[in-house]
Amino acid sequence: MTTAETVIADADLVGAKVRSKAGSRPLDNDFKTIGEVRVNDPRMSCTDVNVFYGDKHAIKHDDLDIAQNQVIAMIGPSGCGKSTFLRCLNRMNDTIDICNVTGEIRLDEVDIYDRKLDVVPLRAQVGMVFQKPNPFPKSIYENIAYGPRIHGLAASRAELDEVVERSLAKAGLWEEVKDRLDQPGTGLSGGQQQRLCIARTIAVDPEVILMDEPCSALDPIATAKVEELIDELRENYTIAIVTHSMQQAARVSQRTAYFHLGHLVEVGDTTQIFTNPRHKLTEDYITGRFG
Amino acid sequence: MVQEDGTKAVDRHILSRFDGDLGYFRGLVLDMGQRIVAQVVLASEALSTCDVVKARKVIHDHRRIRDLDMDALEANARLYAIHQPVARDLRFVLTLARAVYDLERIAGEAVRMADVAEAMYEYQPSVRDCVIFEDVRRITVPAVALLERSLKAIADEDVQLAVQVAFDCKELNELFEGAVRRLATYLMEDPRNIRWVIDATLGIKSMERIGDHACSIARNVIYSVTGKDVRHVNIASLAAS
Repeated sequence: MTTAETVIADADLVGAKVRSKAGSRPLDNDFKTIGEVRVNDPRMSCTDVNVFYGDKHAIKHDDLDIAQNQVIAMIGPSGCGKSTFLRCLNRMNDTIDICNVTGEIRLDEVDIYDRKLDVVPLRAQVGMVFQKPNPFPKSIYENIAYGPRIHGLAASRAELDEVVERSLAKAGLWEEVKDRLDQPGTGLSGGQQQRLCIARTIAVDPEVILMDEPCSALDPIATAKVEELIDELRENYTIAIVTHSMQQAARVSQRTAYFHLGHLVEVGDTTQIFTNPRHKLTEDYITGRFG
Repeated sequence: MVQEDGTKAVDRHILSRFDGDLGYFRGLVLDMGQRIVAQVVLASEALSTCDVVKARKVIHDHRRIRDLDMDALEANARLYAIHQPVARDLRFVLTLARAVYDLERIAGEAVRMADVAEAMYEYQPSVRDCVIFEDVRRITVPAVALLERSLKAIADEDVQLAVQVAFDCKELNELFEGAVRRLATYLMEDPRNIRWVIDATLGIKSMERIGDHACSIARNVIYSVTGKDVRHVNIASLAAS
């Protein structure tokens, strides 16, 4: 085969992959994720994770590592299982009676589904920020102080004050609220409330922060501030974010995972996923050919 | 199957405005390409026959190319600003944008050839029928063919054709080197040939550059379809990449 023919054959192979009809039918149960699911230095490691809501098989044999000090974005159409997968990472699905999780999820070598494990400290180690800001109906100060107080992270009022200031500063909110800490958290704007929730999560000194569409209820300016914050938080925390905004996933994450009907279809560097995805389903979803 | 609006039937987006804007940009690039092919052919005729009328037409018609270049920039900016394309769409838009740059450079080379033809008309070289003008005509054929094929590769997103164009550029380079060797002999024969030999060399060099730009367009098509950036890959090691 000549050099030219070799290149053409190679290009044909890539083209055929791109043009395959995989998007029109469900994936097989033994489908293998495209891309490297494992990383060298994982903070969390998920192996053969399955989630059932009653009879519905919502997550299907998914493996995924979450690297330290990285942001991983989980994307996919509604109902693909990305939020379900995220909620497995701090056992939030335990609160749903019909939900059954199998497989193994480790946080720093500890199996978080170990029956003897207490979920309360787990949820401090793996904090969560939700779609809609949900501050407690208490003062700004109390919103932050509540967690450290119940987890015994501050021995004195002075220490607690320090934790509150540090958490609000890390969340980029200190300058905006330092003169009204006694006012209700619910009185803040939507964007400020969401950053307050992030500060509340940070206050208990987590290792991992899970974010489930944290900007979907925010305006573009508040969204930009939260995205900026996510980038800064990456220095100290590991972050997993579920988002419906492709641009947000591209902006804030270093790795991206694409889910489809419970399968982790493709995972890879965010730049690679958004410039040269390898699976037809990923390509079709992010380019808006289906969703 | 490519549709009238420039999109492929199986590849339509949910958002039809994106298809419309992408089809418009693609159409602009192909229209610009066709006009530039005509410009190159006319510039070659002007140079090989010292035809000042054709040379001035090339220079005059360049305005329309500049207009299309500006329209293309606007269409490109609109696609980024409104639609933020990703993946294959992003690569195709990048390829079109790079093609606009290459086409604009090609149009510039055509004008340069027309300038040379105009200058030659002023001093009327005594060796008008010499073999070097035949060389201009001879090198034009593969250069224009490369350009037309690279445009077809964009139009059809045809990676096989793009790879062939990338390989065929070598043939044009060999023709150019042969022409330069022949020109050198005229310099050795008579120093009075220096002026027209320099002008003719400039003209032929322009044609060689046109081939290089056509090759660049083709290499970008390979990137667009396969995701592999082969712009700076040696032609011999293209397969290995």
